[in-house]
Amino acid sequence: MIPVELYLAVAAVIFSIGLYGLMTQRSGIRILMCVELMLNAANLNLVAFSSYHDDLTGQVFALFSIALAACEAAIGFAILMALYRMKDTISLDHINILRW
Amino acid sequence: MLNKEISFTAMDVATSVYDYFKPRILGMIIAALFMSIMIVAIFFTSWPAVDQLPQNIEDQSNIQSIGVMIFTDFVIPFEIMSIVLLSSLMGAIYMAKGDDNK
Repeated sequence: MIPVELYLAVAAVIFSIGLYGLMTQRSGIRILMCVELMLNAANLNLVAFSSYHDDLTGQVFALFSIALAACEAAIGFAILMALYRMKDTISLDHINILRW
Repeated sequence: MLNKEISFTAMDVATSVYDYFKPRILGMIIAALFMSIMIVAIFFTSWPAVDQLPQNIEDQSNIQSIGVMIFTDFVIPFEIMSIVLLSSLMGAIYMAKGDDNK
């Protein structure tokens, strides 16, 4: 039986990769991908604890979390499409407006 | 033109390494510190867990239990999630459609 610490360590590594990408990349799509990595690390923690405590609540919550991540990705890509149509770039350093 | 002589001096290598790491080194340091703190905290904590994973030999999956739990205990969050999905769909289509609806 795999100890639960290994699942948590994998989740921590994935979360750190997402954190690093979120702090260094400046393209909008890469930042959305890194946010997805961080959300999936949290989902991995939820599923691991749920499985090791014999309680299905965590897995149901992970299902809701995946649905919310899909919503977030759809809205994010739609915003990026609108921004690209307006300013011809999705580099987030060049986007310094909140309304147009 | 194609067989132009390529030579790397130590200064070129150092400059390229510097150009690679200059905008990234702070993020690398912060992410590595976070990861080391998290891994130390994970491996030095005694997590309460069951000794043996519950296994049903006839039915390995737990998708039926998850579905029952969604439609009994978590039915209100499930309906709210449907509204959230619908509104995000409408918002995404509205923003991605653009102004010229021809």
